[in-house]
Amino acid sequence: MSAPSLRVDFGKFQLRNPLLAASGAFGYGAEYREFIDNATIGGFVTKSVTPQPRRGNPHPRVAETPAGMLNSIGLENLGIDHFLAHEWPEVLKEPCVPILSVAAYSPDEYVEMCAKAQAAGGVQAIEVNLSCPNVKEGGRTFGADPGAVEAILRRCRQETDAFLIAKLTPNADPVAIAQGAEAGGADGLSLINTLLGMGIDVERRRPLLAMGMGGLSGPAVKPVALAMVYRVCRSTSLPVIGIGGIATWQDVVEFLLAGARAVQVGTALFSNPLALAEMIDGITDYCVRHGHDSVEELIGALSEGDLITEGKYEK
Amino acid sequence: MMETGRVVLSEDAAPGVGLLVFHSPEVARDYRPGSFVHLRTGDSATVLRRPFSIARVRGEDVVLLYRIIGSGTEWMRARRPGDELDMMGPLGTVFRLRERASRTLLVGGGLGMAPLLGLAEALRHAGYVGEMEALLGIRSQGDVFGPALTEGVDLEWQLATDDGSGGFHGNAAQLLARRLDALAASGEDPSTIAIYSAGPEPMLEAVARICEPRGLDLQVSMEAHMACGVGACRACGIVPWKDESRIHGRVCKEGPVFDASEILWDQVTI
Repeated sequence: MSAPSLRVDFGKFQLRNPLLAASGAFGYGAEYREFIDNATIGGFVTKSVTPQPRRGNPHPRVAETPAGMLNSIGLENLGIDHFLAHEWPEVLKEPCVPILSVAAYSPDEYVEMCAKAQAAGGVQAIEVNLSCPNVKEGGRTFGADPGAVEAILRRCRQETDAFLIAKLTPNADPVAIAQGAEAGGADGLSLINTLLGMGIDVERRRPLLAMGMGGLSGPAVKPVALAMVYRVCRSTSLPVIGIGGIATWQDVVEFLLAGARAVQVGTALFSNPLALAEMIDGITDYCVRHGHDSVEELIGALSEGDLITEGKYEK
Repeated sequence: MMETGRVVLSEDAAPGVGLLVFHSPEVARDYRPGSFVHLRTGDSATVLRRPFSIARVRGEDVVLLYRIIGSGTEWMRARRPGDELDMMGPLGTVFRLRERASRTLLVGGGLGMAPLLGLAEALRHAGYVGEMEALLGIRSQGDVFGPALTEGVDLEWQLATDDGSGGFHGNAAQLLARRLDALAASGEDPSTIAIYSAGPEPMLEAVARICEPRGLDLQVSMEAHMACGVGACRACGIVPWKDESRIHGRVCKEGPVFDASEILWDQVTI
């Protein structure tokens, strides 16, 4: 028997394998060069780019929690104009699918960035990071409002022919948000972003993060992410990228079985830069052991049997 | 760059201070003064590694000095000879060894001085140092670290203590200022003096403010909380550049060693 194929279809893309490096954990694609060969992974998502340069948040910006980490980096970056002029040409040279992540503080800014990306050329896929506070609406996260998500995606859709992926926050009902994104014209979904979290140093009586609260990621969030991916996959026809605490090949298989067509790995890279390579080996071996010619056969292949239907969870 | 080290020695060098020596031919070979290793301090469930400046290298053994402050460093303290360590490194931008210095001043703050030990050895080995002086700021005389730390490094530390219990009563930056005034009074050319500093950020900033108006060549080794260690996550982006086309120096990538003259010290946020 020949080696199983790890190729997966994801919308208009055929990915080398379902493993992508997640936004915020992988810089602009070159930073892990001494540890990770980008010709072996499906792709990566850039650190989010914003309309204007941002210096980021005060320090500390990261803290460790049981099986997880909190971060409040604050979207430090040089702004989209600088990015498209200087970093993007280098990103395009990477031998896998690069996905541009954009984050903004008003609907107009999302639209402006999609237009600039379109004008720059070569941007095949955009992940819309919807987890920023909407400064014009009292700071409420765009991503928590299905109507706002739909409106942003609809306007972005008009500005670019890039494949638009809406990145969903777990700090809201993901099914409703997914439906908003789909109605607005998203081509795909990725979830979950980080969960709002906090840690306190009891001796100093101060939060672990300078900003007080931040985003929780890592294995601690994986069951939450898996349940959300499972629910969203059953409620949408869009291809889904599973994200959240994925650290082993078994985690990857779980998300594929739950219905994700690809996964993103972020926090796991910090402790184990070889995690992606180990996952590739692990899912290859899994396919062989289970007699699959293609990893595609795993997608949504959860044996549901007498599984209680979703409605009963909701009560 | 993923390396395994085998513990040779793990002991308390002083109360609350750990000394860890591990064997790694690869890390020892690639070490340059100022570089660091990013250690997994715990089992495979540990989410964040911990960065440690390499204090010095002896043959194929690598020496770390660290303050025992939490679960990660308690884990390190519990290592025993033969245990394996999982690390990335050596990483980071290292000290530039200044050639043709007539005088070299090493300015350390507490345990943060660790990378200056290997730097002193490398400068001596290269024959670059001229007169070498080492200034160390600590809280009190009782904080002087054990001889294990500096064994074989021919350095005589001039002490500054916060409480005046030993040496100069004050901090390392004040001691440096006094020393520089004396050198200026004796007519020494400041352009031939090289200064290297490592320690907590407030001390480095104070040292920079003393050196900048005097036009002195100063390099500083910074510390920060890190996640990735390779420049990807920007957790450690704490060093604002004067060059406006850049935002922050990443301590893990453009640092931990920075040329003090390139930094906007009043905007360092740590």
